[in-house]
Amino acid sequence: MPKNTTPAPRRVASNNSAAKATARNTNSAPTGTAAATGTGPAASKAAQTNDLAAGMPFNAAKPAEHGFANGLAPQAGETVQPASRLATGSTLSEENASQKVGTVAPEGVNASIAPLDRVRVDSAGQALTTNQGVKVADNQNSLKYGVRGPALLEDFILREKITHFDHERIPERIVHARGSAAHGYFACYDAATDLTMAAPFQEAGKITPVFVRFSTVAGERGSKDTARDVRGFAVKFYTDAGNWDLVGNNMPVFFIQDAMKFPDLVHAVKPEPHHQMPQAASAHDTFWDFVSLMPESTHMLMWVMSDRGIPRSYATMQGFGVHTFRMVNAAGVSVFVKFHWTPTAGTHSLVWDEAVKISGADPDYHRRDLWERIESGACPEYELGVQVFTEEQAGQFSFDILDATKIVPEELVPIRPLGRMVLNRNPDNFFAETEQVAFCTAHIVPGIDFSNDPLLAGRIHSYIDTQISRLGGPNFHEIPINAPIAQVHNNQRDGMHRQAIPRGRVAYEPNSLAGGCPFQAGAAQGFVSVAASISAKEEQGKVRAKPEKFADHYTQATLFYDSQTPVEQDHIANAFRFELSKVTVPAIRQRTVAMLRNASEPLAAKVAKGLGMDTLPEPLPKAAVDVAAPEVMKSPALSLLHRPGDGSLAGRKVAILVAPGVEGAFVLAAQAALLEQGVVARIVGPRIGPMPTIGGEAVNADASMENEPGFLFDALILADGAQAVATLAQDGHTMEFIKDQFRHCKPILCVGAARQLMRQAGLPISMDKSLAQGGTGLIVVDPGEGVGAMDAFFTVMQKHRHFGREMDPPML
Amino acid sequence: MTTFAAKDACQLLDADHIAVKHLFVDYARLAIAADAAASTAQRTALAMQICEALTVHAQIEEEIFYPALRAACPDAADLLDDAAAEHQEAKQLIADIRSIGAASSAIDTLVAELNVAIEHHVKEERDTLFPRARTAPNLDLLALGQRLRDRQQELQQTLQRPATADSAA
Repeated sequence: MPKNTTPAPRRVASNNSAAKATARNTNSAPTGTAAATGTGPAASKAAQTNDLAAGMPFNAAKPAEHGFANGLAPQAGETVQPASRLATGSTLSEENASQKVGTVAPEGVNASIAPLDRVRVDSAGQALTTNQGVKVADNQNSLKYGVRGPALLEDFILREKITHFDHERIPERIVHARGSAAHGYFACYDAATDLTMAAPFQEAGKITPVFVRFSTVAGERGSKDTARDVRGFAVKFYTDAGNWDLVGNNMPVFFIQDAMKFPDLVHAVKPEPHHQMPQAASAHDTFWDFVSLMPESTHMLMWVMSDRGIPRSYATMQGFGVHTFRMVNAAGVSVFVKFHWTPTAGTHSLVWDEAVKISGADPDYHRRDLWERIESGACPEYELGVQVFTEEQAGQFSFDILDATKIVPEELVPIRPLGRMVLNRNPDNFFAETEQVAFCTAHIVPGIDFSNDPLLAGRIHSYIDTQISRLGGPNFHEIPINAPIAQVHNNQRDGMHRQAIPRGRVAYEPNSLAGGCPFQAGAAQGFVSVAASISAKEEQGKVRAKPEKFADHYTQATLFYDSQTPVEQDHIANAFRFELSKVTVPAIRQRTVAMLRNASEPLAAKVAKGLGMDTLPEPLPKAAVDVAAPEVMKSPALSLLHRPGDGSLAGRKVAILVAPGVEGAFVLAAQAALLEQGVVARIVGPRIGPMPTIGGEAVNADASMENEPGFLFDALILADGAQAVATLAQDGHTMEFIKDQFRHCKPILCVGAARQLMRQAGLPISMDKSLAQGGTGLIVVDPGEGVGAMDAFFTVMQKHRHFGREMDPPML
Repeated sequence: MTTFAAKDACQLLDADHIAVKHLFVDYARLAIAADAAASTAQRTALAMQICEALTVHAQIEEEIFYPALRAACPDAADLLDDAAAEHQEAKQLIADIRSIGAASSAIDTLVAELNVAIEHHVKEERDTLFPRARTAPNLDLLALGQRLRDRQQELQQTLQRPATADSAA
């Protein structure tokens, strides 16, 4: 039996039966306090309750509810200390403890926010039970009348099991349905108290737990990871001042400027409603019809069509808060901020041909990558930084900082680093954590505030609204993964699936019967919205319209395209070509190219040529002809190649191709050297299993060319060994393996006789000049020189891709 | 000097295309990096190497490949006129780069422009000119390749000679 730790103090019983009787009633009472003369627990409670209520003869806070100045600095609510806990309890009988009911609620504590250990389940050594804890004797057969007889309706075990199974699914997220998540922490560099009073930034080295979910936007829950799409980058900070969700993306802009258009955008990009195709793809009529009629999408289209739309890993993409937010310091001074997550591993992407192939061979590519990185200790890391600017500075910018289709160029406002995030723990259970986690842009903490971005305003509503439907009611905040680590006390009650058991009878504020608790925190501790004034040159009233600067739809699209390296520009043009070639309505294609002409004539011309358009359509009429001159014409930070990363190869995957008769000593040495770099080196053969080697070393293929095709690897090693080469040379998979590695511009180390495989795969003779010149990422060495070439191989791997060999159409 | 396998005219010219693309990619990677200032010398050298490679490439095309193709495929004249015009654009960019001399953001922009121009030119040659050349009757591409190679080596030696003399002095 649990101990009754805090019995409520009681008065000594007496024989005043009249008072006793009065105190035991739950309605009606005499004038004056029966308990004043009575004794016993009920009377004591009544007396203390009366004292408590009397301690608050009137609502002293009422006058402070009025006026602007009071609104900026609300007072803390009034409280009265009860004589004992007796007065605030639900029931006198709480002293009766049991194994189920436990004891009395610990004072001033919401116990439901304890670490997730409180709900972890481990079944080691346990027998199978029903959900009611009844041990199940037979989990193989339903209950029947005779072995060949009918099943019986009374079989509660079968019925419970089937019923639960029938209800296992919950609605998937309408957008960002496909996602993967991990736990980790945010570590503050230095106190940023000058900027913000937000809890994670209050002292150097402060650790705040986080849960981060990455996602695609358009595809359904089971769709491929490598679709061309924006990626969600949602971070839940479990701060000691409450949960803060920074619900961002891997791109800093969006397609639309106002939440009013959000359902239209999503309906346009989702599979078309008549035949529900295509899945997880924007390359179809309705998407391009919509965006080409919404020219504010041009900037975002540049980002999505760039290689940022197909990241190599969640660990190699940036994250952004998208909207302008505010940070507020303890003095109430607020500044505007833009949030940036920068991956330590650098920004690296796939190429389109590769992404398409991966989506077939491993639709879980990014999920697997995230999981495996964390399992192997190559934990994804990101630096959080903010661009900080004042309202006055913002007013001078050539663009409107409330416009979610605009960035603040880093050359205009540099990034101030705030801290580092490390993702170091995979979830125990995908559904309980990754699926049930509920991110909401509305979840902010003191020190963070919103801007008037009209897209953000809609999101503040939408996320909570959708969770209520998806998670079955308003108590989703109590689902363990969503519960804060900060104390939760309010008068919100009831609803589906309520977990908390509030003690006492007060579910309103102000109250005197709970001594005023939970009380309004006041400005000193509680969240106070920034008193942002709405700047307007003249008096404005309610209106449905956009600010004038929102009409500049192209300047930053041009900035993005012009800031890319030529190879990246090629990839953007090729992506537009691919997407628009999938459109079935030529007029939509024409309109999109007409829109692109306003952003970049070279891009539009290149796309048009790729689509076989002989003449360019007239540019779309612009919504605004006279737009402000941009401050920045070229921003290197917009190129993925600007962030090569820290040079670490951890988390990359390399295939070492083997077959019977391979030079085993080299294979093992190469694998060991790669592992030392944190690289996952897989031995891939025509089949899995042990391979005889020249020197008799034990080489055991853990993947086959059939089950792990070449495009799943970041680099390739072709080992020496005449017989192995002969075996591989007659296997068609080998040539595909090499061709894909070559086409996707990945490093290849080729030793000795294996160069025959390169030739057979079709390595063009025209590559010889480049090979002699160097920098191709292809290392071809003589027999016995493989081990000595490993350092050179690591160096070329650091470049990730070698686009020098990329031709359009591809050479191989 | 490295000796390369014998190639036909298209293969030889394509080897130039691929090799110079590698240089462009290396250049762009250095120019876009956060520490671009640290690679000024390297970028200058790359820019000059690109200019030299393209100058020789354009010259052998104009002296040998285009006339041969013009003779073998009279109906390819328009394509060859376009190619010649593209050479002029590239030559202007090369001249602009050489006149600035040392790597700077101005050269970075010019090299990127040259890259885009050459990319376009290469695609035109690969997509339209080479198939014409390969199917032209009475055009011996192997022999043409040998002529291109001889002239290319000759031009490269001419270009490198003054530099060698300087370093010897």
